[in-house]
Amino acid sequence: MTQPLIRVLDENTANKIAAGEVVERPASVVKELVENALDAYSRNIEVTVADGGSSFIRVTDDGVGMNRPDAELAILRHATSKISTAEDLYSVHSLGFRGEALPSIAAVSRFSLTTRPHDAALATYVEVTGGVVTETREAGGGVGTVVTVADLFFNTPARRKFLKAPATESGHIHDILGKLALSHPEVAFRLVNNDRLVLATPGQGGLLAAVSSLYGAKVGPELLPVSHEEEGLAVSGYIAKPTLLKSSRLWQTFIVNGRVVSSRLLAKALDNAYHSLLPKSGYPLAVLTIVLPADAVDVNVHPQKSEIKFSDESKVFKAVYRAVSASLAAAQPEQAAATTSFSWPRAEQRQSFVHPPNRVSYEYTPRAPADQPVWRETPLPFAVAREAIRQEDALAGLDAAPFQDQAEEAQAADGMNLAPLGQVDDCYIVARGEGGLYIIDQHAAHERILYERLSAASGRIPVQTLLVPVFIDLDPREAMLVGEHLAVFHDLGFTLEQVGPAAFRITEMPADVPPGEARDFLHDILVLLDGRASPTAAELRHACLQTAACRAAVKAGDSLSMRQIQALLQELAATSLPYTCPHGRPAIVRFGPDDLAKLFKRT
Amino acid sequence: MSVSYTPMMEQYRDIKRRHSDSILFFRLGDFYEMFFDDAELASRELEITLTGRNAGAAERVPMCGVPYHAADNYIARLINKGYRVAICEQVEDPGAAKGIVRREVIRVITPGTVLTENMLDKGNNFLVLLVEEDDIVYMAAADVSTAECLWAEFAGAHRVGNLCDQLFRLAPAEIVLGGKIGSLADIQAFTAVRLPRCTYTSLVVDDYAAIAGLPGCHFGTDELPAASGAVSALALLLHYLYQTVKSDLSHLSRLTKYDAREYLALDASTLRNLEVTANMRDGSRKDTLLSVLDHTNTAMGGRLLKKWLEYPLLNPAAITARQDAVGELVAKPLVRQQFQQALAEIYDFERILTRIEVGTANARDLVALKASLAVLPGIKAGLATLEAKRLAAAGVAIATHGDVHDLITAAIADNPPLAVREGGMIRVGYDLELDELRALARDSRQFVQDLEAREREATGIKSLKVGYNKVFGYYIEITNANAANVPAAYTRKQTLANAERYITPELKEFEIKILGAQEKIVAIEYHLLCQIRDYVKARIGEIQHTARLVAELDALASLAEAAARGGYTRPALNTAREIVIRDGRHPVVEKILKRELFVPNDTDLNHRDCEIMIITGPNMAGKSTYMRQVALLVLLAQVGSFIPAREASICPVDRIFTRVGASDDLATGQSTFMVEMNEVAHILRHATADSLIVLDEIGRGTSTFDGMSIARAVIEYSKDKIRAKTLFATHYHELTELEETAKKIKNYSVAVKERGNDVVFLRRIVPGGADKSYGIHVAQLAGLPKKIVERAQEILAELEQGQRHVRAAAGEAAATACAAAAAEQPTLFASSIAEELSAIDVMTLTPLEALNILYKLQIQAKQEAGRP
Repeated sequence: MTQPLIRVLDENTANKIAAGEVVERPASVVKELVENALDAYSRNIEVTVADGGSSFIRVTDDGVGMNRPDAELAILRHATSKISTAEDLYSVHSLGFRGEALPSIAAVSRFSLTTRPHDAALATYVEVTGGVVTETREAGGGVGTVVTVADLFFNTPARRKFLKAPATESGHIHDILGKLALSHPEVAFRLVNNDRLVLATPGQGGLLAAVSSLYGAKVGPELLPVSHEEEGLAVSGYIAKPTLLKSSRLWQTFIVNGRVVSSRLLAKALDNAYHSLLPKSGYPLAVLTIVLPADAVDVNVHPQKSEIKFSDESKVFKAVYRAVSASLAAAQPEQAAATTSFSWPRAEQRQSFVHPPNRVSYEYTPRAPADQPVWRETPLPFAVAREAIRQEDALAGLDAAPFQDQAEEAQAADGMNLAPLGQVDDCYIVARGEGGLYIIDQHAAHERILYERLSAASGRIPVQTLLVPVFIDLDPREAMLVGEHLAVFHDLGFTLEQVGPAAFRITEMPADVPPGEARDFLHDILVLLDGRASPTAAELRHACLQTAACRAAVKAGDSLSMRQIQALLQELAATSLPYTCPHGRPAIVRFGPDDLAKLFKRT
Repeated sequence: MSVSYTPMMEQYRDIKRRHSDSILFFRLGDFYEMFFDDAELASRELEITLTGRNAGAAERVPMCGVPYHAADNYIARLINKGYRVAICEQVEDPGAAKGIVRREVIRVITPGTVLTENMLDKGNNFLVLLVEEDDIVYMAAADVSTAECLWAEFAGAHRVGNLCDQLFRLAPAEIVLGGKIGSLADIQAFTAVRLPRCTYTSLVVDDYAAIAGLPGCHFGTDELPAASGAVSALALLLHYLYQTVKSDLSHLSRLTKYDAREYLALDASTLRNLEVTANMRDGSRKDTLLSVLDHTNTAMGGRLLKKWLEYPLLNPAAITARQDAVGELVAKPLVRQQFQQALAEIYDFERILTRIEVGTANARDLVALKASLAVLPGIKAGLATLEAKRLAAAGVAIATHGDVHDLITAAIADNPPLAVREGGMIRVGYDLELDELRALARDSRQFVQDLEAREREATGIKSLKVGYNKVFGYYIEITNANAANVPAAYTRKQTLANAERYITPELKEFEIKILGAQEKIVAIEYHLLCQIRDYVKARIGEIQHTARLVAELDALASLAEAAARGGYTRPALNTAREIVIRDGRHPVVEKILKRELFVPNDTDLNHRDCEIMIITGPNMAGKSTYMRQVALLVLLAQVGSFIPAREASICPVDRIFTRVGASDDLATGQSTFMVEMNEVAHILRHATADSLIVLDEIGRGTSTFDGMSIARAVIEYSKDKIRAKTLFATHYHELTELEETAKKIKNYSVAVKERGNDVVFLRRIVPGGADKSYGIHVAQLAGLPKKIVERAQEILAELEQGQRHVRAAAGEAAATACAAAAAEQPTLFASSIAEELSAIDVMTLTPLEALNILYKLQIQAKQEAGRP
């Protein structure tokens, strides 16, 4: 007898497989659970995670809760309260509807559900381990639902291996929860990561309050409101003034019918509206809420429902484009009177952004109210939008910083074999060397050289005796400090003689420091001595050497001869830490062949 | 035998005689010196070297000293050890004085009159003065550093208890006794345990008539209390402050009366049990109600919030006003955020004002005041946009003091030094004369440089140098090798090993000019600083008023912040004498829990069907937490705060009493049971029908039957006589029978789920009594060895068996007792000898048993006859 080759998978296995689609990483668990909480009319949602969510995730809500039979059903596959027939899919207003989330998550974790409706005295507790219900009983609990997911992927080691470092995973959780919070500003969200409250929105005060609590109070005055409506389609929210740019698209949130989505179409519409206003590459912060009839959008195209399909893409594109443009245009003449010293910290941002000449061939009236059509012809029609959607990779951008790995190679400076090419802007030295192109900050480099030379000498810092002593006046407090610390100054290379109640004569000072800088140098040391914490001798010496090196080093703006450049590079190569100056700023920036290739888009 | 001392030492002894109760810090040049016994004491306490000084007598006088600029630190250490320090300064210019410099005590620092910033924490520092007159104790109290002054009277049988409750909240650093206090021993016993930091001082006034008018002069006659005892308490308080702080105390202008009837009464043990502002573990703020609610940004707001928690309100209108303000700040998070940012810029300006008043404010204090004033217009404008009455009114009432701000901005440098007599405080451009003098002093360098070059040229001495030192002033230094070339016009001033120093008329003239300028600069700067201080001082009353409004805004914003962070809701206030809470949480415990979730619970207390909740259930199940939670939520609601609950409706109660947990009053020498019974007695004496009483396991400190009887009697008394809302947790399941006896008593228990041998606590309070304690189970959880647990279970089984007999016996006994009472034959025992005899089945008795019975009956007969 032969076994049949094809079998129907048992439910547990099916769930595990489905989990692969729904549960990609801890952040997707959080997303699913929070969407459930939102669908349950919660006012407060708290997410607690530990170790990036891999060991522990808990989502607590104060929504409607479930009674015992519902709680037992909820963990079955395709059990949902949200739709009952396939037709409902086209009028779905809830965030979830497939009934997949809980069983999928429960299949790959140690899962528990505690839930109580307002009319029950006790909550129901259901515990599922790796897809198998291990306990169902009564429990104490508040009104609402608590889902705990521990040891995610404990029974699918292959998936567990793919989890990134906890910091990365909790970063993803933070991002997704922030966006969910923006999609529901009327709900108070909290995220507790490793026992620390890291995110909280007030659930009151509207979208602006949610944005402020997520992105900081300072962002508030930098935002422009967006409000636009056309043919059954409404766009609202906030966008940042072009002066506030962010390094990635993480700061852009698109919400369609209450659902956080990622959409290249919407991102492109936003970019295009900003296009001529952005001075350099960057991404404007934006929170845009789009409301359109439920049947104009298909949400069932992605397992995590994070991508959606609009039935009329061009219409949506245009609406967003117009909404953002109108808001930007309206903001432009907005410049208030001068700030008084008593204004709120959030007093309107004074700096005005200059509108660059229009490079796009449409016109708009600067003060046009948002609801009037702001452009006549449509030179950016549907075709462009289409193209934008197709050019998928163009949107990926230059996110990756080309010089990330600089720190790792910082210590390996020997044998760079730098051959100078010249000086730029009397500030930077450009050189060719092994492994690519080098740009050296001449001041930082010289500072490093001098610092190492100075600190190599033990005992008293090398001094120069001044042919013509320098006389300096101090204020009485400084004079007192100097008087008390004459010995310290002597060790630091200064010989001082008092020539008046608050006047001193400098007869010796650290070598290499130009005498003209003596007063400033002395002042720097006095600031250190005057500080609350009295510095130790070693700290003083280190700080003094730093200052000496800094004061003595060539400055930005000093023109250098080729010989000087050569000498500088040789000495730099001989130092122990050529890549940074003593204050920790970078001294050398390297562009490897790969970096160059990237810059020229050769990859 | 009298010894003769030097005049200076005579001066010292004279001053010391007048301040014999203080350690005298005697200013000598750059040091404060101590002599004789003070020196020996201080050297021991401060660990500084004891030396001696020739003072004219044969033996050297013991002496030790501290440098004047480091004195604050040493003074703080002495004050913390409970000493008083008198600061004696030189009050005339040593240069101008004839004979010895005149010295006076300019301030006496005591624990209750500390003003230096580094000796004070953010909280209040009260000084309390007590006077007793006609069996009424009068209290006058002041925090000089924050300009608060209040008085109260305590009369009646419980005056000492009430006074102690009030002392506990004020937590004074020092209690001054103005005369004899009858029950001083009780007060001292209380402070010794609860306020160990507190010190006592006795104040003796020879001529009371001379000070009787002080309160009238200081506060104005309108504000004075009617009772003469209260006036004399205030008079003595003011007298004491004048003697120590030595200023006119004009900032201490507002006198308030503490009237217990305005506030929800919380006795000291309730404040402690509920861990409102200090925890039971170490007395710190950690894990207290205050720590959860305190998001204040100013020290003033912090002090006010603490006060609000210690004195919750009774008046529904006042509570509503606070709730409205909190509610608006919760609903407008952006406005709240702006306030918080502005408030964070504000310094403790109540205390800055005090330092201005007593004349110790330095330029940095003024800069801090300026920075605080700078944010006021923003706060005022923000408040103007709000609707809640208290906030809008505060917006109108806050004055921005623009003139003070502008004056300080114009006059004081941005980063002035701490010292006030070294110059560098006044901004360039503020005073013409000062700027000219500064220019003069600054040009010295050029002059010296020129002179040096000229003299070198003239004398031909290359190594000629112009120098300066503090003692000799300017000089021209010439090495011995060049001595021959020194011009005749040089006057020799000082001789060194290898050089001579000279002066010339030109250099001398220059020196006089420069040094004069330097001195003048310092004098002018100090004078200007004083001018500005006086300007501010004239405005002190107004600025204090603003400070109080700022504190109130800060406290309200703090409550709103706590509400927003904790998901609190606004409790409704009802007049139906109900407490209804849905899904209430313990504000502190819910914060402490990390992995576990706090299980919320409902409360329904009213005078219809649930006046007394009898809560049974196992240890560790959360009974105590629940009861404290109810008390805390009611307290919070009466503070005007939002509360951690889904919804709530609360009728203000007049007092909250708690008798919770094991007391650690071992220090008082009382047994646990004694303490417990004292507290219960206190509660039963003071509670009214409008009180909330929390009783946790009354009677567990004694044997089971005693305890159970006491517990039952207490509940019955509460039900019949007090009729207060009562939460009563107990292990005595027998007490659940009481539900049958009265409609107003309801049984509740903590839900428990048995799972095989295991027990799960659901932490949910549900109707109905519990029938088991699960004590042995809890012991097992706690890690008691398995052997012991098993044995305990055996014993339990036996006992339960036995108890059934006991109960039956008790039932019979009760019946017979009734019969006995009916027969008017009172007996100490449950039954008469006759009944006892007739109950004996003689046929089944062994001889030994018969003998035992005979023995018992004889004893009983003797006792009934009153013979031992």
